[in-house]
Amino acid sequence: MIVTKILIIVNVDIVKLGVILMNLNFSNEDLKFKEEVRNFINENLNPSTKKKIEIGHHINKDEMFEWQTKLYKKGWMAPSWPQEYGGTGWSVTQRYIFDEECGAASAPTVLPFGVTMVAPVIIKYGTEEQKNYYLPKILSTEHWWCQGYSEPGSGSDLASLSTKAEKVEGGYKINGTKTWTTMAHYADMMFVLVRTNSDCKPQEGISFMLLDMKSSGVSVKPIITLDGGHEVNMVYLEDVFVPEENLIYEENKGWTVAKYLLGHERTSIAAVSRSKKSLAKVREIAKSQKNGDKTLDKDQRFMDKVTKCDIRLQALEYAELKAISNDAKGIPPGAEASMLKIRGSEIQQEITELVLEASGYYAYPYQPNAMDTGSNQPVIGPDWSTASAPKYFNTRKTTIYGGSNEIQKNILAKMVLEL
Amino acid sequence: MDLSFNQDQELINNSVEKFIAESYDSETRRKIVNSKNGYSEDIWKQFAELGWLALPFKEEDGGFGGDLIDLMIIMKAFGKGLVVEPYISSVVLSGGLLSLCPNSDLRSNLIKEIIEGQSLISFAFSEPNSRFNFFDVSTTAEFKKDKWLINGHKSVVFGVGQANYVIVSARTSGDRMHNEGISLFCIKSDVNGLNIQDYQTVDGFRAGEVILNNVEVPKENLISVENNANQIISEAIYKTLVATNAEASGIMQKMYEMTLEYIKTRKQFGVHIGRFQVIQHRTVEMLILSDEMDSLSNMSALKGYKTINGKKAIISGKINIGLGGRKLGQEAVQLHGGMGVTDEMEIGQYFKRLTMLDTFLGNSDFYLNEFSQLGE
Repeated sequence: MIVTKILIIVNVDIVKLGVILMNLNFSNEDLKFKEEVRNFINENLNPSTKKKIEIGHHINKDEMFEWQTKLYKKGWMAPSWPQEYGGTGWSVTQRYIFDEECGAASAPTVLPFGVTMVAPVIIKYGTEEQKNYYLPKILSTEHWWCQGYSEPGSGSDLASLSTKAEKVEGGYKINGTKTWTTMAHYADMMFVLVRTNSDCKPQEGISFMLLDMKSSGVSVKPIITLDGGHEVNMVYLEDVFVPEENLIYEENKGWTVAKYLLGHERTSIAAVSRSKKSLAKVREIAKSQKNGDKTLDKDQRFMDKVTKCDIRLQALEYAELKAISNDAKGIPPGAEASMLKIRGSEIQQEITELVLEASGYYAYPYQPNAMDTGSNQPVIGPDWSTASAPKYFNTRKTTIYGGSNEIQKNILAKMVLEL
Repeated sequence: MDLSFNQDQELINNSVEKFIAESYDSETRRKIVNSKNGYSEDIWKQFAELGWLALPFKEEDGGFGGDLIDLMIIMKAFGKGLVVEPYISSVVLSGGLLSLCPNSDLRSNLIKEIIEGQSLISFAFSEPNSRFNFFDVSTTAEFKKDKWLINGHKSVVFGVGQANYVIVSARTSGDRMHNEGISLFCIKSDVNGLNIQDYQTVDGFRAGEVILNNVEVPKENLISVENNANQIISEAIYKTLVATNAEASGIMQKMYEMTLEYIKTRKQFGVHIGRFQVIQHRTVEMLILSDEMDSLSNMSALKGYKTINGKKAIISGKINIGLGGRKLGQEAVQLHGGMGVTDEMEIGQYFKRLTMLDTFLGNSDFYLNEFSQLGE
């Protein structure tokens, strides 16, 4: 199929008099860089981790840590950061190439909570002390981060959050419950939104703080998702002390910080290079699946669905490039980030539907052990099909998390349509 | 034309709904799903006592001679209750096949045992390379020294780990893809050479891989006409699809109701989320999707599988599980938000079953092709 092979390499850096000059080719330096990235991944990515990601199985903390440490040692942990804090100083094209190669090689996704979520916040709003203390620990993965936003009563209506921070000597005492906290069971630190004022508009009484997960009064309870997996948790905060110096920006200005962060999250949430790899895998699977005296890749009905998904993914790829390009020029992600989130999440779901369909009856066996690290149990059916149904079930979350797609549409209606 | 239930149908409907309400809550179901056998022998006994195991069989076979409407009523209620007992695999599909087989002692005994709740029977048709084609059969049966010798691999065989008998489709002549040349053998599940690997399915049922390695089968256990099982397989499948459509319809109705309940209680932005127009419209769409599935299910039970028109109605319902059913399932989860993707909330359990019913006996793409091939 030609569509997957089209390279949309855009150098959108040059904007003159409103005319966007686009360069659809890689320069020689870019090609050299691509080679370098590819070699680095080949030499450093653990083959068993690669295999697991390719077929949708879970990787554990050690496997994530191993990869992040290798990126760190190479200096490639945080391509989106300014160079002075440990960013790579890459051009937009280089960042694109890096993402593309990592996706294509099924390298682990760097956990976003540190590098792409809290770090930009610390860089923009943090004090020198906060920057000096936290940023190096994020780069080296010494700190694992999680996000304390949602609460049982505050999902889409995030501003209604009720976790309370009470001023005490030297800091705050925090009480409340956070939910859907991804990786809280691994995390050392949580960035958390808390209410510091209740006598004002909800948005104006929120503060953004950094909370040590080892503090007394923090307890983490797993939430099992419908695929049987454990990624998310409830986090109970009972009289947890957070020192003053862990407040980011100003008291009651947490909503401004949160909005800044969400813009960044939405850009990275599009998962374009991952989806490209997954869709390529669907085509590969279709070639291997017997369907009568042919294979599934000769089934026009099925392949049309693959192509339709591919078309949307191409459009998303261009839109993401535009966003990265703007970001590199210092133009913050605006409401268009919501479009990336909406389409990106839908495409991820569509791909899991295609894998589920391709699996046929072998989507049925429930094999949670086969999906976990270190299991030597022989699998039933092709290895990629063991995760097909669980992945489909689990990926329903993408249109719900990170601000549900309904909320994204509200944002677009308000900010872009000005309704 | 009167499309309401008659008195007998009302009676069946009330008794199944009553049973679900009183004896099959979600906690009971979860315990059953995680139990060793994946179904409850107690509950199966009650099914026998209530006559539901006898219902689809003809009176001359000791059954109650129920029709497709009766079957639909039971299955719709089972859908609402998300019943995991092997009713479809053992009674409807395998029982359906047996009742279409020529008379024999084995056939009569097995039907009697199904009706009395003493035997579970599983139909092993799919193979690793057959995808959804029932007549793509590589498993072979050779007649040698007064016995059949069977070899092959049957994959994802529903209810096989709990069954005392397995009905195996095997090739007795012809090439792999030929409709003709397939025969049915009824094999005791504990015979030498028959290896069953039982597992839970992602929707809380049971299935297994069946490896047949030189399994010796007495000649009286060939239960179909030799080389000529395709017609009865096809008929039994159609009958089972009526049941599947009904189950999906029950699940969809229940998911719609649960979602409606949720949007009336979940508060965000100071109001129930059901106050938002976008949520209202989407829930109304779920109502329509649920109603459409119910109509297609009713239509397939009314028309039956004897005519092309009837077959098309049945296939239409099955296709819709993968279209309207998938849409409704996804919307139900989405409107439940994060809660919709937790194991704890019931909506997810329904979502999983509804999703897998699309794959069951062939997915919507497969039946779109079948539909076009049926002709006028």
